[in-house]
Amino acid sequence: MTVSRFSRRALLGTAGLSLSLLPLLASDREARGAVETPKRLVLIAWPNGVRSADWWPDAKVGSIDYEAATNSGVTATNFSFNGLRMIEPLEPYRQDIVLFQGVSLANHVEGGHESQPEMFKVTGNSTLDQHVAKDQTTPFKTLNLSVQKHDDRGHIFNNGQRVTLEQDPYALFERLFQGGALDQAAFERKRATKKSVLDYVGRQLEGFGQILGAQDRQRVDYHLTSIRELEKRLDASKSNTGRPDSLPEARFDVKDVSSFNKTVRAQLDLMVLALASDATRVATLLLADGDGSNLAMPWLGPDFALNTGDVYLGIQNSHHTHAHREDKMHAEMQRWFVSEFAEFFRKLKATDDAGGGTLFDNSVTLVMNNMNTGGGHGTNNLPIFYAGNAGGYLTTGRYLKLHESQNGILAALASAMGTPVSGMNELASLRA
Amino acid sequence: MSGYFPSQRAFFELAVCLASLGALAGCQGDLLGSDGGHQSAPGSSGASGASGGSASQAGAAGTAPTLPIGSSPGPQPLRRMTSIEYENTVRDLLHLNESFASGLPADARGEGGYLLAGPVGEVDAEGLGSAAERLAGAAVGKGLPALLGCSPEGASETSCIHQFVQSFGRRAFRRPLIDKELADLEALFQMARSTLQLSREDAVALLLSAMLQAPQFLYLWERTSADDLSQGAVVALNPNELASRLSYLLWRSMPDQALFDAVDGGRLATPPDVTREARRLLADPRAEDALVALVRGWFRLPSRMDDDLSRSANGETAAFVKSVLRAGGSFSSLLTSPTNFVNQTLAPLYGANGVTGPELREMTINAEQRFGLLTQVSFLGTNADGAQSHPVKRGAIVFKQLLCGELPAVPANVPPPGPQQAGVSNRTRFAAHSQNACAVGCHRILDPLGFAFESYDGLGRFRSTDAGQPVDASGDVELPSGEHFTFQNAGELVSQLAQSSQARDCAARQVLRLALGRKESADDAASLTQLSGAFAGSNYDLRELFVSVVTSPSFTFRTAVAPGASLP
Repeated sequence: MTVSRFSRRALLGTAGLSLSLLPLLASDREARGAVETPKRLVLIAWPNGVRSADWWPDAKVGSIDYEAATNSGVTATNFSFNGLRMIEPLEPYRQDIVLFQGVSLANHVEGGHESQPEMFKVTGNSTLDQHVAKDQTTPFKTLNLSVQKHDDRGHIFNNGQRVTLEQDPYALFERLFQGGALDQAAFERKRATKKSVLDYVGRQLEGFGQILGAQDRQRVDYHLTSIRELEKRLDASKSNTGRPDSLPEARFDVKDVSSFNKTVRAQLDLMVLALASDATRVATLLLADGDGSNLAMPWLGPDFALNTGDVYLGIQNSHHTHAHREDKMHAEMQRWFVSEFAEFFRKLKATDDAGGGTLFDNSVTLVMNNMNTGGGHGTNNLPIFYAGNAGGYLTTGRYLKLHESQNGILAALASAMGTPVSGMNELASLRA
Repeated sequence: MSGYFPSQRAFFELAVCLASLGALAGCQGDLLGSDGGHQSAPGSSGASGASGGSASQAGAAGTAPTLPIGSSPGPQPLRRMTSIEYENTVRDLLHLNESFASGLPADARGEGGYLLAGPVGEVDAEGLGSAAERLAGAAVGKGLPALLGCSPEGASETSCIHQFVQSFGRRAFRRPLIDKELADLEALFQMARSTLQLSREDAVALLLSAMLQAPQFLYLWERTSADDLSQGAVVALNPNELASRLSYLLWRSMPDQALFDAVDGGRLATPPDVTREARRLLADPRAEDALVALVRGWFRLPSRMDDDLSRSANGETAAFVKSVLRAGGSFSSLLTSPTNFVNQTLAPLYGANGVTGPELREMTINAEQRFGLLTQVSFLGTNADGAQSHPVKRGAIVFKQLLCGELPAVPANVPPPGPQQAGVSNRTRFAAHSQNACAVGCHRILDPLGFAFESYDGLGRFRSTDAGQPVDASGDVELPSGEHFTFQNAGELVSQLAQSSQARDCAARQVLRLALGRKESADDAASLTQLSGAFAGSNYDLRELFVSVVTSPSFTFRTAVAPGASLP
């Protein structure tokens, strides 16, 4: 299996991860003079809604006592995900999660599939991750990943500029671990070579910007900023000691729908690796197009195959079609997504953080679907939860019913990361 | 139209006056497009004299491009090569025998609906760096003399590198390099040799990699100074810019040697020059891909290639467009030609028998059911909800993309159509949805245009019943323009679209959007009139739209934005 090979070679297995990366983590951090245990922020978007009866803990009538009124709703701590087909994989993490009900998308003009770009916006021009990333000093201010997105939907924005998403885990691996298995002298030479080219490109961009109008110059300045970031990262990489040495030889096609599961797992694993090694503290992952219309899940069994030999049946098997029907296959497909999130949490929990605790303890992961039900496509009552308390800043173990937009949640996460958003009120009931 | 400041207005009128008189060649070079303050490199007199030379030749011939009095070109926003353009360009620049897989991120549709390269974030910058390093390594691997065009051994190293930077730079930057650019690159090479102690091969690779990441290469901006770019001034593209715009529009790649030669020889200065070169480029097979790109943006067809059905449906679209071009390239045949390209994946959807294998085969399936792009799987299957048709999406493409109709913004909270029910046809379901008071305005137009295609399900299969009810594909639409369509089925609608004056004018707008990378504005009125006239004069030949657009005011002039100033 290519996927297990990938994991092994990239040292992504839990044991290998914590063993191999700790020295690197410590030395990198020392080099940067960091003292506090850093907090990490992860944002994940997934498409096509849920079926209420498979998702909300109070779908089981009478199963929940609401204990406390919050400033804007009611909260319960005695809920369970057992028996809820789509969300059940999160049951082991119930105490680490806040699940929201009643959150409606703010500021949207069009609902359903068109709404992804609005999900994480904290200001008119930037998404939460980019807002938080501004003050980061890690080699990568942020990682912005996706799997098989084709269209304009669901983008990350940095001051109005659309941020390009990294779709290819192989390319991401190269970016994270430049240098490979070179000896120190060769590594230094390669670094100096790259640096001299970046320096040249940066100077040319500076001159180029001088002859442009304001709007064009802004684009060139953005390019220049990217070049400067790459230069800083090169400066920070003093050696390549301890880096995984190479990529797996047997590649899978990251653009083929039948590789979707391998690509998702690889991207999530690389996020763990990047967070653990302190290459970045902020990461986003946007999964599939807003409508997932081409996505099938053949790995779930023969009934789920995309190409059944009958094109008609194959299309009917798409994630999007099943979502519209809210049928059992929709439930199984969403359960698969959720089980991948659970696996991500398991790895964060299994990774010791250099400053104490686990990676999970010092992080918060916000997971958001951009529509409520697969059949209705509405943008009210969205399936949203977060996992992890960001180093004790946030409350967990709650099922929170309220009538709010997502803004209060985004604002709370921004504050948890130490970068409050001015003009946005955090949802007070999320404070630990 | 926003007013000019008096001085700029005067400048504008002077420019037009000079251009139309075709006199005062010496001034014209400064006003209309040559690089003011151009610094010529030693030994590059031939190349650097090109823009000046061509301007004076144009003046002498009296046929420099003119801007119709009272009209104004819009701005031309800065563009960077798309990933496809990048791959084509490096293939041509480095004379690669096969296509180069750049691994650059896919591009998204811009405001005009066609692919535009996005801002260069870190992922893009690293991707461009990695591609440049791979290309440079491969080029050096073939031997330095072949790459450099001279032998860099011993004492001749410096002069050989100088010669290479000058000649390769002229092609890579699509204009002659100025002194400072030459000096920067030569200094970079010397630094690599002395400070970094790189081998000659590695230093050349570094040099090449740097040039392939330089903004002068990546951005389509063949100018070296901003001396003539005062705010709001009307500026004609200089010949190097024109050559580049031509080749990137028609080939999605850099100019070939003949086009560079035309620039350097002063033979790309007048509208007839531009027309001649456009026709030459259009006759090349590479231009077919540009027309496929036009059709993809125009009909909003996705270019995803991640499964067999998408690959087959996209492949059919491309093959179909090329077959239409070879058969004369008329707009109406794009909409009505009964030719299909079918393989084993598409055959069951088209009800075509006896087709095996993944190769697309040209065939006529059933002229009553299949006639042109709007009855192909790519269009029908894209505008669907899974296996069910989506009449509103289909109608919206016809109205917005084929008729260039403008809709008011979608009201907030329009509820989606109800769920599918046994015994209730899709048309009935959507008709109920459109009774919503807030939705009536749009749906009066969109729905009937979409219902015309109810004879095709969400996969594009022909059907005569839907949920047990006979399909009703009839409709009656009056456009805001007053144009009226009445039809019993898709065939009748498509025939009327193929002859519609609004659809023909829209074709001209689409070509302009592709060519400029932006949506049209009031500034483009004269260009659109020219395009529509040329289209009609050629009996609606799509290629003539391209010939016409490259001599249009909007393409050959632009309203300048002064350094640091905002768009007027």
